[in-house]
Amino acid sequence: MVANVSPVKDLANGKFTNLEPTLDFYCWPAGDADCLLLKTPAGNWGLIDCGLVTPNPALRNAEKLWSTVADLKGFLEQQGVRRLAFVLLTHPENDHAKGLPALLSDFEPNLFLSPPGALGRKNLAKLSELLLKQKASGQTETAIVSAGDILWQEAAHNFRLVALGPTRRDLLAFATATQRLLNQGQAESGQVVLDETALSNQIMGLVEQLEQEQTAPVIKGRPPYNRLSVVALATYGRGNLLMGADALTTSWRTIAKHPFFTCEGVRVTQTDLRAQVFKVPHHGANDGIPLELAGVFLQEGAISLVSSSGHSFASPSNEILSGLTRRGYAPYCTGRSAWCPGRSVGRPCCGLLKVQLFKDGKVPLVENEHTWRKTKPVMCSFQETITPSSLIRQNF
Amino acid sequence: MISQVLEQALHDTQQIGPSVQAEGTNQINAEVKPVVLLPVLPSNAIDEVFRRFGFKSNSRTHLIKQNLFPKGAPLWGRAMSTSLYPSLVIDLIALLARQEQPQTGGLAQRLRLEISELVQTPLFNEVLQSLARQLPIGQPVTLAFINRLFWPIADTEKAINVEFAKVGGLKLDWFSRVDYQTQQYWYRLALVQQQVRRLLFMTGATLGASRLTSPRSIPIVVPPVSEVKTGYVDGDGHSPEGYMRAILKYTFGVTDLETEGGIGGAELAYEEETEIKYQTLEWMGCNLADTPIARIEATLDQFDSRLLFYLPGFVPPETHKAIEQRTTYLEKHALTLEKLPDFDLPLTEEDLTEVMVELEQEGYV
Repeated sequence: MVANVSPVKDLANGKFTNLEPTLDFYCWPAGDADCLLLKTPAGNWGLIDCGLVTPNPALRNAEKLWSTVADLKGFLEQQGVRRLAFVLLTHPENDHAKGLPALLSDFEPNLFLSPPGALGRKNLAKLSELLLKQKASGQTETAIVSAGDILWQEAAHNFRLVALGPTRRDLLAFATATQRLLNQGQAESGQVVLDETALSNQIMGLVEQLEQEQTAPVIKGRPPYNRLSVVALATYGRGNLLMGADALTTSWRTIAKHPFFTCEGVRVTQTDLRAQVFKVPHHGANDGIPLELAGVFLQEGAISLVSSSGHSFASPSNEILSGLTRRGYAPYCTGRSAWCPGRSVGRPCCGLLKVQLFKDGKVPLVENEHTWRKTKPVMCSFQETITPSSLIRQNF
Repeated sequence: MISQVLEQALHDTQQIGPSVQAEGTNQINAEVKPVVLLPVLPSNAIDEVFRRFGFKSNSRTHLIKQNLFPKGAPLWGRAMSTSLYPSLVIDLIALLARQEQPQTGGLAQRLRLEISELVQTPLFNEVLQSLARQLPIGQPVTLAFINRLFWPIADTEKAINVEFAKVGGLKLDWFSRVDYQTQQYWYRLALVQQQVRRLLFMTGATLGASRLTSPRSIPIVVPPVSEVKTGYVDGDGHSPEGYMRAILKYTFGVTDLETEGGIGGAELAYEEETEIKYQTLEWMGCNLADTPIARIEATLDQFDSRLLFYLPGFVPPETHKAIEQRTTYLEKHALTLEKLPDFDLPLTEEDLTEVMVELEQEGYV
């Protein structure tokens, strides 16, 4: 039995005292890459993507904020973590998967989740080999993920992690686009597959075929792996945390159209799913969340987080950052560019971000933790510069 | 082993342009597709350079510790450019170091001549003059000297920035101060490095001492810039055009450029890195179908993500048996997850039509 107690403010020291379990969400500074960590209300640790690399030391020192797999390992050890409850690879691109082999070799997952075809990619060969070994030793289960799947749940705490994407429409688009890449202008053969299981199987085959053909000069064009992005929604009581991976604009439109399902006997609608915390998709690039739909997915005053160093030239885009800011979701960025300071719009960029989500949907704390490295960010006096959002003021 | 690799690489590089050299002029062999070497040596090749020329085996480590030499840098667009300059300097230093070896009598003069000729190249006038002024001809090469090379030339009228990334510095690389209007500097600096390496590795006994006899034995073949394949994949910051646009935008504040949207640069850099790794494996004769993954990884560890060359005649890798294993694994052993009750995302005819239109707009036709 979990006490349904709201957090109260400890007036003596000005901090919030946590009287109930929280959903802790960590957004790691991985450059222009994703690495998210969840500590569930039951105390399980889950990882969503791990695009961590060891960047050029010169850039890293200049940046002072980029994290590495070693940093993450150190953090997990510090937290007493031995195994990860679950690992979700949202889609098979290296800025989301690069660090997984190194991390999972030390922290085995109980459950490894990925979208159809993901492990068929050549760049994930090492990860596949590792998972094979861990699977053989009976330590790890794997699962293919698509919209509607329950990825993790802790019923006692009313906590669920569910997939809202990739939708069947995304799978269809991926399969068709890949087929066209392989055909290279020749007439398409075969019928359009609509069944989800059949689509998944078809995608696995297509990815493998594509990976074999990828180096051949006839393949021109980029495989649309972002179409496979797993959009994950963590629901903890009335609190919602929405993680957008690299889901594209069209995927968001699809999800916005059909978000209905039944949860504990109650018909859940789009409004019920609006999140208090939002991990902005595709590192804040323009082809992610359509700004006009922000209000559909986000509660008023929601906290948005962007994983980008600011180095990349397409993400985060000023349009998305300023658009979110105008709508009251001023984003926090995990990275800061020494090269182009002042590029970010909205909040200061702050390195490792931690958000605590309470069961009643309140988000009292957004912390910047830079103790994971000895070097303190120079420009990130987080506690001084960031004021509570309107939501926080309203609730406390 | 490394020497063999370098020599083979050099041999392959020569295929870039079998010299069609008229008297004193450089001509282009139009029949040969230009392939530009990545202007970065793998770290163990640099070690080999140090070793061959009498430096301590840990010289490169010293440089890395002082943040003067990139270690295992992934192919971030900027990181690539920062890698070039120090490796060029290392090459030059190694060249100069040879003069102290008695068997290379007279070589110093020739090298000086070669460098002098390079300096006369208008493209690199500023860069190489600044280097040549500092080259300690006839003096032992010390770490302090290398250190000095990387720091900016102070109080000179035409100071160019030879500053390599300082810790916490804003000026990350030498290219920050170079004209970004074209990619020519990048490309041509690579060519200079190529010449330097030819001097380095083609003057050894293995490749024929006859090359030592003529100071003009090495032709400079310059493919037209328009045909240059830099190895970048398309995308902002990673194609020559994208790189230039990005630099213009963020360094010089030229903002009326369409660089927003599209695919994140980081992904492309990763994709490129992965692709290059596979090409390297092929080039090294690694049979992807048979070689265990662990061994491939070990090989790649030796040759970090910064590679010698894009090589001509690349053959796509065969299917690795691991792919089959993965398929079996996925199909037979994947867990079936519980679905949310009543969760349904129906796929309608309207959706189908929309998807087809989207794909055509995205270029999947």
